[in-house]
Amino acid sequence: MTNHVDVSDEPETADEPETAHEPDSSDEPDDADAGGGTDRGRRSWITVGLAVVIVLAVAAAVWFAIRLATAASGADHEAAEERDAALAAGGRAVVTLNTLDHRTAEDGIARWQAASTGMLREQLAASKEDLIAAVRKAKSRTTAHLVAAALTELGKGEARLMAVLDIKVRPAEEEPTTKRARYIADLVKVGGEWRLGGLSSVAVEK
Amino acid sequence: MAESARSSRTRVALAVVAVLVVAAAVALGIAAESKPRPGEINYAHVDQPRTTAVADQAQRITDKVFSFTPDTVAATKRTAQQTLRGDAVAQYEKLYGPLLSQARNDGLSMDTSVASVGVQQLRDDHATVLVFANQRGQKKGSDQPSLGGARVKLELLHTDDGWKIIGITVL
Repeated sequence: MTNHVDVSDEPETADEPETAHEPDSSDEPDDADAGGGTDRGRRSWITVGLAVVIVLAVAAAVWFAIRLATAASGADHEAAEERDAALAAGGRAVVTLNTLDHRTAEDGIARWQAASTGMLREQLAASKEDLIAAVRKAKSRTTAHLVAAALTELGKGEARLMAVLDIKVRPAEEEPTTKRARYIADLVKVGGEWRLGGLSSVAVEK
Repeated sequence: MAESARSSRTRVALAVVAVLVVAAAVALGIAAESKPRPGEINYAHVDQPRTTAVADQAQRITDKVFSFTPDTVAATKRTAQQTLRGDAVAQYEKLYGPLLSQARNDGLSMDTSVASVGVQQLRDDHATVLVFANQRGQKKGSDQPSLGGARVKLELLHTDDGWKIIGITVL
């Protein structure tokens, strides 16, 4: 409130300040405030402003330095991303190898092969013709949905995945059936890409 | 005049310092905020010792609380009391209450053996694991056991007394 009054007073005394200034500022500090619009007053405000900026910036720098020091390590972050990549690719691959349509059997088996590596890939190559013949004969369509998945092991370029799938089989004539299945899959990283090296359905031991 | 020159030099110096300090704060801020907080990372298979510890404990608890014979019902119940917390208590009661009654009345035995455990999430004191287990149930006097393959998702909480199961979801 007092500032307001001071400022509104200013124009009336605007003619005299240059000479009256020096003694005024030493005798009556209050008047220095009134001269907020003068060069000197403005400069002192700039000084105060800069000091405030420095204090705030130092505080922010200290805060961020603490945040940086307590952030998760880059190695952990990369390892977590590697795990997620293996889990996602493994889940997709298991679904792929449980998906087959008699009308596009060749493409389907080609996708199985593309998602696999090593022994599994060799086995698929060897039994490719039989697989295609069988699905064409049955005129069936099989689709799969990933219910849950987790890694049981994760090493350098190797992992083991457990997966729960709902597998829907639509035979030519009969009603479609859905069964829930458990799978264990061996994953191998080939050229930066996770592939299936082995896949086994976990049957109930009898 | 000398005072004015000195104060203007001071202001220039302050301005330079302000720019440098602001730049440092911005640089530190970008570096700090681009990294995830430890609480935001899922440490499953990242922190290997903890991952193994929670998987082992999930396996031990599952084998014990889901197995019983007519003679060990009390022991199974005691283990359940020690290792289950929160929602898991009611979930277990719903799943196993009727079976434990059958154990006493009809001489039912159940043997549960974990085949695989996979840790999905591991954050602070929380974990979720996927469990595959094989189950063999047998009634007294019957030589034909019934076999089953179980898929269970467990939620675990780390307490002062080790990992406890706080959620059981049968998949």
